[in-house]
Amino acid sequence: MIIPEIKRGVVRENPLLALGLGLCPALAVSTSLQKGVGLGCATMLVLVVCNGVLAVLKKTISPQIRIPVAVMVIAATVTVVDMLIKSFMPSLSDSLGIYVPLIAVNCIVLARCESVAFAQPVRKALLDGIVCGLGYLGALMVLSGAREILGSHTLWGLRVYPGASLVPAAALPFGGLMALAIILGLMRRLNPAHGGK
Amino acid sequence: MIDLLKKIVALAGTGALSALIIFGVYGLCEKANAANARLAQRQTLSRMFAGARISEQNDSLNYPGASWKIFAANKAVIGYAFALEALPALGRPGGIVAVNTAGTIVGVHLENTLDETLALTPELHDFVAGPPRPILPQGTQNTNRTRAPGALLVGVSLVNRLEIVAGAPAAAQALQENKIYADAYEAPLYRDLWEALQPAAQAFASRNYGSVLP
Repeated sequence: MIIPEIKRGVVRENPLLALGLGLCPALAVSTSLQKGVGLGCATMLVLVVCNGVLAVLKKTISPQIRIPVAVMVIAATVTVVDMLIKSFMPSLSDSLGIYVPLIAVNCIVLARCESVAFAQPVRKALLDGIVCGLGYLGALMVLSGAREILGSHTLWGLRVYPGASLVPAAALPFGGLMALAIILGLMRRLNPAHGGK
Repeated sequence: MIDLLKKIVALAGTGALSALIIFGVYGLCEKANAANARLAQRQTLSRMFAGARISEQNDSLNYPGASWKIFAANKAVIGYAFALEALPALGRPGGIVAVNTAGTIVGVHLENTLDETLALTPELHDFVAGPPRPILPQGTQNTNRTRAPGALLVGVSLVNRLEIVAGAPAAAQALQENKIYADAYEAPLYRDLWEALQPAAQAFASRNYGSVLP
């Protein structure tokens, strides 16, 4: 049961590469692998906690106030995650900047809460949070790793090849869009579920 | 009506619970934040000292100096610990005052609490107790009236006045023009502080207490 779920979250319904959710922070912070992993982990944590909490609360919440309650839970979770990152990983917090608080308005979180947390049992909601988070984290790692190698000739801050950067533009916003387009193209080419042949 | 009340209670309850959790985590983070602030300050000082050391080789000084209003360093600076006893007596929570062997204040740093000052003293100790640092270029004539024997001013940053005099040549030039101490003295905060601290500084120097020189 777990393997197909992971496959679904990471490949078939990958939030970034298949559903096109969370594009803005992904493009903004994917200039280095460290930042990509940081944002991916933070998003995964928020997804898991929110899915779990809302799945537990769903029977006590009237359908009419479902969204406001979800927003409150998401905002509180993001605030807590942001405070923890600021206190215990200040350098990561500095490099991610506004994009940690902005997880609160990330479409992935609200989409998963709406479609899964309020409709599925707690265990399934938690599992969905983990696999979707993993999918987003994986996509961010691929994107940010590629951009860091091509744009800054480093990976996780370590130099991987001598000389100048292969594609300096990869570190620029334009490079982020191009890298994402290439990865999306490859995904579609390789995976029929994404419209490939 | 009851249904509406239930919804309001559910919303308020969620909000209150969220706020409670956030305050709980805030308490947890506060200690870590204080430690981070201390670490950042130590790093700033370390960078500054590193800059001063580099200046010995490059004959130029380039340290941030953001929180140091006046900074002086030389082998004759004996009394940074003096600030720990003198500043609290003046009603200031902490700070560092460098005093040379003649009892002249050659450096003032005020923006710390007493605890922070104490936390910073190992770096200061290492810096001051290090080998002699001839900063001014050889042959530089220094005619400044306030320059005590052995005192070498390496950098000055005054609030809204001189941002920083970076580099030994710049410091030497400023000293020759009799500018740095004059400006420092004219700044009311420093004039008052200077005058209030000077007797204690001289007493401190005469006792030769707290010398960190080898």
